[in-house]
Amino acid sequence: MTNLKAILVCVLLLFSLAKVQAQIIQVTEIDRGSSRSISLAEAQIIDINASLEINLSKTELLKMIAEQYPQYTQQTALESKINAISDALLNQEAILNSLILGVENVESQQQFFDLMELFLMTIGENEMLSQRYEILSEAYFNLENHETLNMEAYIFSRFNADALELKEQLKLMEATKYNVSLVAFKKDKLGGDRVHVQNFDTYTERDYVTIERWVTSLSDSQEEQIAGLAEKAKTNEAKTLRIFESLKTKLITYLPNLDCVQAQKENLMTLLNNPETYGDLTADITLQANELFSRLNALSSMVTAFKSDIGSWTITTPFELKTNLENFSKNSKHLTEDFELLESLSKAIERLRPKFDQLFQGFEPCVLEFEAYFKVVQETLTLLKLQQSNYIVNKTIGDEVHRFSIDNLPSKGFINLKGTGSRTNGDELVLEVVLRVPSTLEGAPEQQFLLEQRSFYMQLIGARSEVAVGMILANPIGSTNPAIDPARSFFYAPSASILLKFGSKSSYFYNEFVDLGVGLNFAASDFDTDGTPEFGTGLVVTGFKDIISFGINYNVTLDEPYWFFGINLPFNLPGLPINSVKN
Amino acid sequence: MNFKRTTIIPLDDAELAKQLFDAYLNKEFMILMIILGDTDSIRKALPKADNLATKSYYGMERWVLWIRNHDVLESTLRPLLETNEQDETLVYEDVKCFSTSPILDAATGVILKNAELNYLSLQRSFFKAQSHDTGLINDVNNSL
Repeated sequence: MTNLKAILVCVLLLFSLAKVQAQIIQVTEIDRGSSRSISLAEAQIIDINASLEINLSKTELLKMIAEQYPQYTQQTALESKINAISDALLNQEAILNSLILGVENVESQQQFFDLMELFLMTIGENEMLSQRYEILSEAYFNLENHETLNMEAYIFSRFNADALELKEQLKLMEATKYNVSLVAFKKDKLGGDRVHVQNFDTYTERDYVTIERWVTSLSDSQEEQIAGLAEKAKTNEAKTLRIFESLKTKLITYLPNLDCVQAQKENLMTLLNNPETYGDLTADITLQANELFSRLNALSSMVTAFKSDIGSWTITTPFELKTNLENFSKNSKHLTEDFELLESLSKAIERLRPKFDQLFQGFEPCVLEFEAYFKVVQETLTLLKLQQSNYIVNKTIGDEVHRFSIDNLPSKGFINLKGTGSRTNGDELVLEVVLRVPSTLEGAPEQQFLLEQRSFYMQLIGARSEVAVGMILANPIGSTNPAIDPARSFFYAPSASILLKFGSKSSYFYNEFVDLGVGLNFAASDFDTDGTPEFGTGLVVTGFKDIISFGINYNVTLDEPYWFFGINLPFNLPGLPINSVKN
Repeated sequence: MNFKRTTIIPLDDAELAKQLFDAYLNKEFMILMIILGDTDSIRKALPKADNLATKSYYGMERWVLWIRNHDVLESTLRPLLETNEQDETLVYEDVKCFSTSPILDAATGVILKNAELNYLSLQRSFFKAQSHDTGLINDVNNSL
């Protein structure tokens, strides 16, 4: 009985939440036996090892389709009515069973009243159903034999008949039928991967990985697992945004250097305007030289425009590769042809040869350099296109994803995050509800529209341990030990820490930036500088992703206490011989 | 108006009104619905309440009392309504319908003046009252 009341309270709460937030996707996190509904108002942080129950609100879904796609107004209006009736009649069998069986124990009666309250409340929330209930009740009491007929059974049967009639009307509608799918993706530093949602797709789960909460070292099997996953990560890298961006940078770097082209343009112009050679230049040579000059100009403009164009490319928007490559190829070929033609024309005039030889000496390496650049550009451009294709394929809804009509859309889906393969704190899980409309043109792909997206940040919530390795700067406290050089204040020492950390389910700032850790530190300092490390241990506090650490240790070998700090930057800074932090 | 399970409380005899009310309230296993006031909407709702009172769930009887004026049984109804668990800040004059539970006679299923009196709200009021004492049924049955 208590459980049923709790369920009723939860349902009421869900109803009120749904009213405030009006979202299609409602997510409940199930973690270590407890469940938590994640509303939009709170931080979208989920435990990295949790399971998720995903509820889709058909009411909100239909409302959104009707709002955003008016061409489906009639269809969604009918479907909304069917859905409202189905929602109200959800517990009709249980209610009727209670009444028909007439069990008079407390639990059974309480269940009946709770379910009736839910039924009447659902009816009351919908104007169309309220009006219908009124008509049906009136009709019931007007029946001659109503005293022998169960009122609830009569009302349920009429509502069921209404639903069937509406479904018939829906079938007869000559509108384009649409479908709805739920898809999930995981986004991490390496790019992303699709995630299996039970009831909504037939994707197989990825490697089953539980992110260990209490880590003190890496076992052999874990190392193998990581190596295996790293290998897979390499494959996945092919689909990443990051790779795409780095390829873009590479492409810009390898685009032909315009200094060489600029210098050749100047040399050519100087030669053409030189009074010593001016008289010897034939009309053919002048024409060809001008042609070459224009070619160099065009090439220069093309490279500049191309560089600016690349900056605007994104992994999601298609870009034109063929034209760019053709332009490059054409210009490169013409440049060589123009150059060779000018060379042959100039050879015919003996007096011009020294001047032109000088020009050609500069030209040849420039052309070769350009050709080499072109080859790299060609390869990089092909790779870029491949990255984009892979990314788009990854985002494309595969055949494994089921498509549902509103009527048969499952109300629940489940994701087991442990079955999503390798993941780390800070990775994202994205859920999307997509409207899929078949194309009206034969053979054309279906149209897909994103109806709602929810994104969650994965984090190991609660206490966990981590191992961090880094360099510390140790300062002996009030040391009188003659073995320790008094001229030095700080000694570098490699150290390892076992840290206790906490993941927050409410603060991104804490998880992503503050990330405090407390624990034990073990350091191998060499205070007496004899080349043999001493053993020291003590307490350490770390912050900002272990970049800064501070603590007090005791040098057990020399019986010397010392305090220390460490700065473990995630990058190398000249003059700071401190390694970066390794977790 | 031809009611089957509705009693109209007299306005001109306070003592009789009190006696009638107490008699119904003290009846065992009866869910009482009290309708207060005399407006068009109340007159339209009364046959509906009367109809619903003919229904019985798990052997509990239903009855409707129509008290056409808030003043008649104010001294009895006001303290009764103050015990309701639905809303402690309830204003007596704003209430147009409520029900009492079959065993404890607790006031519940309150419908305010600004709400509609229809089959849905009246049925909810009856069910809330009956549901209020469900936990006591076994105890009462055992003591009988």
